[in-house]
Amino acid sequence: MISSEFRKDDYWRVKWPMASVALSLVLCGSVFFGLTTLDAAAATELRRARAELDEARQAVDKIEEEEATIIAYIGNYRQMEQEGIVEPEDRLQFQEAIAELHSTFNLFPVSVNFGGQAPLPLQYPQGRTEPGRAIVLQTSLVELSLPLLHENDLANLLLTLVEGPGLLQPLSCLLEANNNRAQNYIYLARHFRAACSLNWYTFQLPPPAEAQ
Amino acid sequence: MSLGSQKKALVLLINDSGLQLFAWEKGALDWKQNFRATPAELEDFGNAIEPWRGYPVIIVSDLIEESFRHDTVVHVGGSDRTAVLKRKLDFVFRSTTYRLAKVTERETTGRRDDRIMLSAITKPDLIEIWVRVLLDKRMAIQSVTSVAHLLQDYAALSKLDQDEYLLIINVEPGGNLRQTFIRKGVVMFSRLTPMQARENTLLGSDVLQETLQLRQYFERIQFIPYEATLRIRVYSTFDDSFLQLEARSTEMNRFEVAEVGPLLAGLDVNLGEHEASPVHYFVAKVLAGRQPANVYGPPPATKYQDLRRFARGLWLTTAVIMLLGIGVCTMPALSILDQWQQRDALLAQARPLQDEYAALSERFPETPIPSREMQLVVETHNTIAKQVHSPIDALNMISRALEGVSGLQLTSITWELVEKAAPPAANDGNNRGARRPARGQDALLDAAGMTGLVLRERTAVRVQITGEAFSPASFRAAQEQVNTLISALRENPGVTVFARQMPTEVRTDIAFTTTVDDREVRGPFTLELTLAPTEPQQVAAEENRR
Repeated sequence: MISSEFRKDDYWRVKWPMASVALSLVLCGSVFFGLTTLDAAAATELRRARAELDEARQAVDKIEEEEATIIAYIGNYRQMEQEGIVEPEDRLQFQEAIAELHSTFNLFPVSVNFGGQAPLPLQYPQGRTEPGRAIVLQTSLVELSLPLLHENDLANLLLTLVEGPGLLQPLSCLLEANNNRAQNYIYLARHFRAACSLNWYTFQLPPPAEAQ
Repeated sequence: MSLGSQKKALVLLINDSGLQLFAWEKGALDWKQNFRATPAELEDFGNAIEPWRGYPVIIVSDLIEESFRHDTVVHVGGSDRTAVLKRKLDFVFRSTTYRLAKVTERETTGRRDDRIMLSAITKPDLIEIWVRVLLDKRMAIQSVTSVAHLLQDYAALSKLDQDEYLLIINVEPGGNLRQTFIRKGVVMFSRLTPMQARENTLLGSDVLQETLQLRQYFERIQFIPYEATLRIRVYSTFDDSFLQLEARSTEMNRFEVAEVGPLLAGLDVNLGEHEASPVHYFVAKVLAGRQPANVYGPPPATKYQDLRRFARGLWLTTAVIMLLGIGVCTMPALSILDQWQQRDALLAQARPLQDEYAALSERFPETPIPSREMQLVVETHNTIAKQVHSPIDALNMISRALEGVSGLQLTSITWELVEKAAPPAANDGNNRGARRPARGQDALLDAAGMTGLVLRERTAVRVQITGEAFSPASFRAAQEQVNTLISALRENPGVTVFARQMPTEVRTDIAFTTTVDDREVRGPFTLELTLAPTEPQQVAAEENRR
C-alpha cells in the first residue's frame, strides 16, 4: 500500500503560494485602507477648496461693504485706541489719575477697590458667513468710597473719571449725610459720605501673531 | 479530462515487457529509455526521471490485466450513488485500488436501474512498483490511465464518438491485439489478446476471427443488437493491402484500416529504437489535444499532484484576490482623482478672485484689525457708551426740584443702574409664564450680570431719596412739602416717582398711630425715581441697533 501521508517537508512546497495569498490579502487590504483614507482626505480638501472659493467670491462681492465698514468705524476705533480701551487695563495709571484728582480737588482720602476681570466673549452678528476672530470684553468692578465736604467733590471726581480716557460706567452711587440734623455746613468737616461702583471695560483682541 | 492540450508531461507506458519512458514537451513525444521491473532498473528509473521532477506524470497501462465488468444498480443519486458504486467495486475488485466505476446509462424498462461499468487493473503491483519510485522522488502523478480509457479521448478527438457502435482494434508490433468497444463515445469494454505465436501473414484473418467472436459476445450480453452495424477501426503498422480487411466488410461489420506509420509521421514523435505502434499514435494524438484524466490512480498515488493543484489553487486565489482588490480599489481611486481634479478646478477659480480682492483692498485705509472685528468692537463700545449715565445728572435734577421746597432735609441719595423692566411676555398659551433656559450667547450674557444687561441694552437708572420733612406745627404742611418735591421731579421727562414712604401715612386700609405734642412736626420719607431714556433717545437707540 502506498502511504497517503505527506512528509513534513512536503508542506513547504506550498509555502510560496500561501505566502502569496497572505501577501495579496495584506496588500489589497493596505491599498484599500490607504485609498479610503486618501479619499476622505481628498473630500476634506475639496470641501476646503469649495469654502475658499465661496469666501473669495463673497470677499469680492462685499468688498464695497467692507470698505464702507472700514471708513465708518476707523475713526471711532482710533479714538478707542488712544483712550486705551483696546489695550489691557492699566490699573497703575488709574491710581495715578485718582491721586491727581485727589490733589486737584483737595479731596478727603479716597478708598479704591478693584475687582478681578471677568471675560465675556463677544458674538458676531448671526448670519455672517466669515466672522472675525474671537474678541473678549473684559470687565472690572471698581469701587470708590470717600468722605465729602460738599456734594461737588463727588461731582468733580465722577465727571472727571467718566469723561476721561477709558470706558467707565457708573453702576451705583450712594451719597449720605453724616449728620442729618446739621443745619450749618460752613465749618470744615466730613459732612457726607459717598460710595460708588463702576464697571471698567476693555477689549481683549487676538494677539498680533494671529492677525490675518 | 481537462480542456486544452497537455503542455508537458513525463509519460510512462507500461506493458507486459516493462516500461517505456517518454517526455512530452512542446507537442513532441520523445522516447527516453526502457526499463524492466528489476531492482537495478528501478534504481536506474529513479535516476532517469530526475531531470523531469517538475513534470506531471501520466501513466498509461497497456496490460492484459485490465478487466471490465458491467452490472446494474438501483438508481440513486449524490452520495448514495458514490456509496453504491464503492460497494460494487469493493465486491468485484477487492484486491486493487486502481479501479473505476461509473454509470453508463439507465435502463428503459422495469425498475429503470442504472447500468454501471466497473474496470480495474487487477494486478496493481505492475503499476505500483513504478508509482513508489515516482512518489519517492515526489513527482506529481497527474493520471493513471489505460490505453482503453485513452481511446475514449482519442475517439472524441477524432470525432469517432458519434458512432453508435465502434470497435477500435490496435494491432501492436509483436502480436498483441487490443479490442476496445466504444458506444456513443463511452468506452464499454477492452481486452488485450496476445497473438505472438501467429504469423504476420495470417494477421488479417486473425483480426477478423477475433472480431467476429467478440461481436457474438457483445450480441450475447446485449451490447449490440444483432442487426446493428459495427464500425471497426483497425490501427496497425500494416496497411489494408496487407491485412485485407476492408474487402471483408459486411453490412454488419464495416472495417476501416488505418496504417499508423503515415499517421505518426504527421505528429512530432521520436520513438527511438521502437517501431511505430498504434499505442504511440494514440498517446501522441491524445496529448496533443487533451490532458488525460486520472482514471485509476488512487488518492495516495496522486497526492503530489493534489498538492500541486492545491498550490495552483492558491496562486489562483491570489490572482482572484488581486483582481478583486483592483476592482474594489478602483472606485475610491477614481473618486480621489475626481475630487483632486475638482479641488484643482475650484482653487483655479478662487485664485483670480483672491488676486482681485487683494488688488481692490489695496485702496482701503490701513486698518489695525480686520473690518469685521473693528465693527464689532466699535459697536459694542457704542452700546456701552450709550448707557453710561452720570449720577451727577440725577443730583442736579434733585437739586433743581428742591429749589421751590423748604422744610425738607435729605439724608441719603442712592443712584444705581438696574435692569429695565421687561415688556410683558406674549401669552401664546404654549409657555404661560415659563422661561426657556438660556442657550449659547444668552447664557453667557445672563452669567455676565450687569455687563450682560448693558450689552442687551436693558438698563435703567433708579434713584432712591430718603429724608425728613418738618413743619413747626402742621402735619399737612410737612406732607405738602414732599408732594411738592414729587411734582417737581415728575416734571422731568422720563422720570417716574414712587413714594415709598411719606411723612404722614394717610392710607385708610392700615392701622396708624401718632403722637401730637408741642414739638415741631417731623416725618421721614422715601422716594423712588426711575429714569428711563426719553423718547427721542429710544428712537435713536433703535436706529443704532439696526
